[in-house]
Amino acid sequence: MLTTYRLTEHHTAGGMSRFLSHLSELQPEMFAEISPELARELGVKNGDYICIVTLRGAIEARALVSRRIRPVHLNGKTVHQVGLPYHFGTSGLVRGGAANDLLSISGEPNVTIMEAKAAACNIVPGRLPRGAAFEEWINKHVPTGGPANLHPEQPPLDTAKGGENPPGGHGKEEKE
Amino acid sequence: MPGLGTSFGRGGATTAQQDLANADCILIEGSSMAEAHPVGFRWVMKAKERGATIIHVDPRFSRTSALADIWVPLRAGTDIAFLGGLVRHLIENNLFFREYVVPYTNASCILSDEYRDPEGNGDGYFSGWNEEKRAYEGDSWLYKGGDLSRPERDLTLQHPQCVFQKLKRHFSRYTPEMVEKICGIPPELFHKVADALVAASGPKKTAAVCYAVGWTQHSKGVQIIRAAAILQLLLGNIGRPGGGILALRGHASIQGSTDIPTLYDILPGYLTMPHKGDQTLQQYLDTYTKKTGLWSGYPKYMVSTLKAYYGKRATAKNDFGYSWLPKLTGNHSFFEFLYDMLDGKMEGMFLMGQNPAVGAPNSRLQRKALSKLKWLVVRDMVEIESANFWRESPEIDRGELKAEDIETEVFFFPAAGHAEKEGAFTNTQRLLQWREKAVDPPGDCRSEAWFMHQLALRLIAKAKASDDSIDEPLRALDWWYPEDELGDPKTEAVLTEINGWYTDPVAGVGDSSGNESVVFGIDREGNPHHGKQVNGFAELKADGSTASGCWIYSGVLGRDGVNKANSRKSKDYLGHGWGFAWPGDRRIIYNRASARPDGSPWSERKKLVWWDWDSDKWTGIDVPGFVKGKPPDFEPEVGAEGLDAIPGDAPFTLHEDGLGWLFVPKGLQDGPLPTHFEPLESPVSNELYSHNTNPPEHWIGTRHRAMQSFHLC
Repeated sequence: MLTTYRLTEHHTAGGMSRFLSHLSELQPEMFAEISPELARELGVKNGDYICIVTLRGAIEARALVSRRIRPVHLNGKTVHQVGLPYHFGTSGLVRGGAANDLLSISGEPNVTIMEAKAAACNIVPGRLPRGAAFEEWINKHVPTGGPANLHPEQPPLDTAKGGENPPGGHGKEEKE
Repeated sequence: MPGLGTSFGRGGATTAQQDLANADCILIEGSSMAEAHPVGFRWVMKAKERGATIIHVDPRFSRTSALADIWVPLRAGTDIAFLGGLVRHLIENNLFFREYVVPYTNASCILSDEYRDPEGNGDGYFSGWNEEKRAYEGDSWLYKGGDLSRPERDLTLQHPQCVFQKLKRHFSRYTPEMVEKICGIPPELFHKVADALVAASGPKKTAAVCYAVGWTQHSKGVQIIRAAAILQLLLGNIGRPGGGILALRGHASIQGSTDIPTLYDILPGYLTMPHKGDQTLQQYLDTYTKKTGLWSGYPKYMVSTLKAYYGKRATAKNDFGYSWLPKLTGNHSFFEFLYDMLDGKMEGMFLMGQNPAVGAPNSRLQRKALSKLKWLVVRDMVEIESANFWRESPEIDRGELKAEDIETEVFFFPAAGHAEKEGAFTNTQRLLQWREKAVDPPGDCRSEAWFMHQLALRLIAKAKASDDSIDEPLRALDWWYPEDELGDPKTEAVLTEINGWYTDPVAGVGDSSGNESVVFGIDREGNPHHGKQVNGFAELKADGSTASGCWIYSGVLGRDGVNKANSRKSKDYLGHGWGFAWPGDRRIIYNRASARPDGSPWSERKKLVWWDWDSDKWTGIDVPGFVKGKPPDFEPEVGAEGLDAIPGDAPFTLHEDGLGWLFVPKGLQDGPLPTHFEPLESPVSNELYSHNTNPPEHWIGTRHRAMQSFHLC
């Protein structure tokens, strides 16, 4: 599961910080915080590139392997957690994947706020392919397997790509 | 802010950051306060120095955890299970602060026989669920008899239909073992937190809770905050020094932008935006005015707002211009109009202080929506992604969109920085702080106030040149604001209007140099515009004789002509004399609860506001949040209305019954009590109910949900 958070050095979507040299120097790059346990499973070292994938899309980031984030053990099941700062984008002095590319639009029943702090994702070691190769790549890596956790209103998401395994399993099995 | 609003009455932090220093325990959850609110965090450290236990609950060990005594890693999105576990622990082990809970909360109130909870056969659903509408009809959540003003109560808390018994049943399965299964928190760690909170509860101790968007940005965010409200009411921590719930806002003046809202469904001061069915002012007022409590003054606040908007054109004869207000026809939130953009139903947009191309969820869809607009105005200090999405974006990079195919015309306006404009920020603790301009903005950079003012002048001029009835609301606006040499409206004149005044103009009154009880009394044509300022919202009237741009801010610039948001001399530890906290410069709200029902302080150590038997009034360190001369043993007469219906020992005067609401009988869409559901996209099934997610969660329409998939949008 991914969660998003803020860095002291950057401000919200970055308009007031990613364009300032001294703040950009302090936090120059998008990263994803993962536990040593998950890094081991993925075969990833601190500083390696990884891609974070959800139904909406994918971004790449440097892996920050740290015991500051830990897997939780629920009834014998392990759930890994991934921490993502959300300040980056394609403009400014420092650039990087926008965590918001991964999040869904939903409306909490009272205030119509989105769910930005918890969502299932897939992690793929390596860099994000550019250009047309991206679509093939995301078809392969979008979270699949298990019943889609969909709203009852929602028809099954089976129309995406002619009869193939539909996207939308939301990482019931997260590992690659 | 319905989490805090429905629990206590007001949608704002209940306390001030300085007061955290008085806490005996501080629970920080849904926030990394040391990193995101470092200035306020010093008061947490002050409390720690004085011996308080600091607890940080967060999936990630941050600087906040490093400085805390206890770090509790939990699985993201399971806060209700954890807080619900604490609530159960307090109830089952009789560890709640009974002397506080019985008189000050609705624990004793008897509920309707129709109420059913989500336990047992409910399987995650409260009574009133309408499967077809996928929404609740909340009538069965009301008190017995339906009247919120005078509920039937059982002070022994034994009645099977009383709130306390229902609360107990609701959380009965949230055991430490269940908390471990859902959150991944071992029972020993759970008990450590519970023990620390219980040790900091009672007449001599208090604990505070701090949260930020780590609680709000969930599919059940409001209910997470509700769970914290229940916990704090059971521990007796609301309205008392070192207690409370501190909502740490996401950025500068977010509190201000809900008080004077940038939201579609409320008017300034949390008045309801009229809906299509609210045809006349009388119908509207009948719907939203409450018989008892502070909201019984609704007509005064609303008519004064209309008088601020429309000036002398608002008269009793024309419903004070009520018909000029737009009426809601549905959900017009940001997400809804995003889809209108995608569908080609919305042609243009003004974007100020926001960067949805990377800062809003499903940013790829956001960028696609922007590319469907005909025109877009972006005001910012730099060329952000939302201004250059048409030439730089992941979609352009991989050839999914081509710059030459995007027809959106983008107008980029350079904005002034915060040191280049004046005005007030309302911070996390409801505190208005004025800021003066240090330098003029460079080149063509201008403030938001300048832009809106200049745009309004041009639109009003166009409307006046037309006789189309659709332009009537623009023609009716009382756009009287004097300007400075750059063409900015004088922001203190705007603040004066927000504070409110008597509408009858006083002749011969000029700037603040004139009659000191009338400032900025001359309009743009040089005519007398208004009378003396009101000293607070208690002076507002429903007959058109007063105006106020935001009733809850009233008092910020009263008859003494002093801009209290700009005052900088702290007189006490709560900061009175520094800025102005709404309402009425109260720093800790609901502070009647800082005294026992008989009016004496709970303890010497935790005294704040108390009843003085010699002078027969409430007094203390803070501004009392109670009718000054109403004695603690006051019993309202049968049929009393307004504040007269609130007993002398009922601190939550915005609620009809004056009580803190453990159970919310009215005002929430997804249930009167918080219930654990999984995040919308979770790899884990719900341990408690067969239903995984919050039932009324809104996916903004079926087709739109499908568009959440990369392949379908």
